[in-house]
Amino acid sequence: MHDSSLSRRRFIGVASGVAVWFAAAPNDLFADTGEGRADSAQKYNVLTAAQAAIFDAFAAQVIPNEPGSPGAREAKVTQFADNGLASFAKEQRPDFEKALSALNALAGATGFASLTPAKQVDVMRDMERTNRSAFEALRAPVIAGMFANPSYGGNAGKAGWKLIGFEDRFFWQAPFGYYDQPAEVKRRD
Amino acid sequence: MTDRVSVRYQPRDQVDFVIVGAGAAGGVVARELSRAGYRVVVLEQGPYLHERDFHHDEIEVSQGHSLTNDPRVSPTTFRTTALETAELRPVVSYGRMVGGGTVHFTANYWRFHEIDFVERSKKGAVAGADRDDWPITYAELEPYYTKVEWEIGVSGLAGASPFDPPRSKPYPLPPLPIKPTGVLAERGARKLGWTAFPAPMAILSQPYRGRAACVHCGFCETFGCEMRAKSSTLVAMIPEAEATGRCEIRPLSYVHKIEVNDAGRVTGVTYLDAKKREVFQRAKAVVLCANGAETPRLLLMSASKRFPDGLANSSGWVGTHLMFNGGSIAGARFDREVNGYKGVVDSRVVHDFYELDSKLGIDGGGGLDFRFDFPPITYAMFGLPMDAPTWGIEYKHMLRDGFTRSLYSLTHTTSLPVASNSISLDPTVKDAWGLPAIRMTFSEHPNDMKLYQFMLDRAMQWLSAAGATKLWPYPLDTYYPAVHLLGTCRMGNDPRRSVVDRYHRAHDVPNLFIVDGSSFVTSGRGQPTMTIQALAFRAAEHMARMARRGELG
Repeated sequence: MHDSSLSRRRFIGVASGVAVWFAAAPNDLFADTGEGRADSAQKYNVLTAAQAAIFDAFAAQVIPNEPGSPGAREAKVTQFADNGLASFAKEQRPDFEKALSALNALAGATGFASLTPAKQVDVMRDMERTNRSAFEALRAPVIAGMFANPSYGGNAGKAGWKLIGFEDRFFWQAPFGYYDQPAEVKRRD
Repeated sequence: MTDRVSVRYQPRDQVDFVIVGAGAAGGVVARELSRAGYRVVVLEQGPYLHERDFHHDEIEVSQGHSLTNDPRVSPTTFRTTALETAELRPVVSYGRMVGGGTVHFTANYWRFHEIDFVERSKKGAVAGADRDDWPITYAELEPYYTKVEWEIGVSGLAGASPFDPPRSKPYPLPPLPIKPTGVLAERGARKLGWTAFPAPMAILSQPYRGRAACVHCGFCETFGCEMRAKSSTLVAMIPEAEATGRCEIRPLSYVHKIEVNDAGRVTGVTYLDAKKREVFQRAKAVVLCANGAETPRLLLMSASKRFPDGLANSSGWVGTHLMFNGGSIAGARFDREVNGYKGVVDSRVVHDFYELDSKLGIDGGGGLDFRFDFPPITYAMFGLPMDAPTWGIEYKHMLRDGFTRSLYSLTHTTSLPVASNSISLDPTVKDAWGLPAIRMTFSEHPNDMKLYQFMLDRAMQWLSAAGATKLWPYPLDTYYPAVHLLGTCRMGNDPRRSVVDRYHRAHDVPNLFIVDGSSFVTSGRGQPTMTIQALAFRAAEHMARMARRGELG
């Protein structure tokens, strides 16, 4: 299944897509996501330190850091992924770990985390081309971790939401944006 | 709201009606029959949640299936034709909780138009499809559409669309405030000579019947409404049913067999409770409101010596003529803030192409809207143009610049009723309860693909006229999982070509009724819930009448 076939799902009211990464039985959802765990950044539930380092480096290239604009690493998506693999996405752990190993193997003897950023990008391009499903198994949790509710341990400081301009106020009044200001509503051209 | 302690029946109590499914139709039927004085048990597969259980949390709702059927415990299989072996694929999605799909839906409430009920006689037959007229007309259903609007709570503006069918009463509530998507929709439509009218929504623009007005949080589609402003049956119908003291809502009750006696009458239903224990609930009559996939599945699972091909299936039409609503999608970027994530999904709708000119050589028609229904994760996954990068600095910048300035035009179209498009029982795959999985067989009728393309061209034209600075089409396709599940137990006067009669009574079983999306003869142009509920109000009235006459035993 390619990406294009997934795009409509949300439009028509459903998502279950690539994002199978997150899929979880409803009852398991909050089974084991300790609130404080995200703060103890060095302690992981399921990831080894080496695995965490690889994923963290990968995440930093999926959504890179810039001055004044945190990337996925700064948003603590690794913590998010670890929390997820321990609870609501535990079924995905085998695929996730396999994908991490595949990424690391592509990097050669030094390992992915130790490569220069430019080399990391090369390896990721290679993996995206040759092993798309494994690449997606790693990319999806980066995206989810960047933009999920911060209670899951990622999107630290709402970095993802601030990036795209999403305000989590959940209570709005018109005008909602530029085009529904009175002058724009009245415009006739 | 406080929890109600409603009546509790024992399975051995012979209640008047058992309703299977507490969704769009089941909630209406439960309220109408209990208010008419009948003892009702509603058996619902899913849990009984309330507004305090609803969160603006994509992981929980969209990825965790907290409000919908979960493909890992309820697998479905798919094939394009009967020649193939179906493979595991999540192809059906429905609300699996008290309130059903009305809890997480977008809440577009379009009435069907007059043409939808008589397209066969007005436009003729279509090769490769069984397009029939409905056994009822728009005029017969009109009072019930009005009833839905006033009983459920629908916001809209009567007379705003020149294409609207006649109505006996205005909407009870004014439209929701216009959004940037709506202003742009009007601007584009004006340039093209089309009419963009306020979207009729089952969301309260003002307080109504003890429920609060919408606060424009923007989390309608796929989420439950914590304000009780979305007019789900969970908040608009079920509490009133329970308040009669005659209706019991029994959640986590998975009906898998309708029982019949030697006389060919239904005696009740067997279900698995939360602990997977089998329970038989006796009833004088059974009403299936389980949706266009689960209803035919249940009839097929209820095969018996007397009904070897499935209950109520002497026509062989149970499960056949599955329709969704097709459509197409185009995306667009604008220069300034659209902020589509604030407020309800739909602001303005175009119905200029509802009924296409026969000269075009395309049957059916459709409606279009402008919308933005991407919460953050989903936007980052699917919201960018098809050729955009999916990681790296450019991806990051496109997300940064696009979220508040993008919108999408969706088209909503007819699907033709094709006999081989169907829901059946998978011969090998079972669900977590050991019951046969839903197997879907579906291929698009060639006309429908032409229609999707025609509507996509209109969507692109509209976005361009509205001033989009970048435009991109999404590939023409049927997108799964399907959410509008229609036509699989159609109503009709001819028992050889339909499953239920014009009053939703099964042709073959005098005390079995079916009312939900499966009753549809044709698909309409989209947004079927309004029609499902109009049918449900009408059907319940007839059920009560038959019960009063003692026809149900």
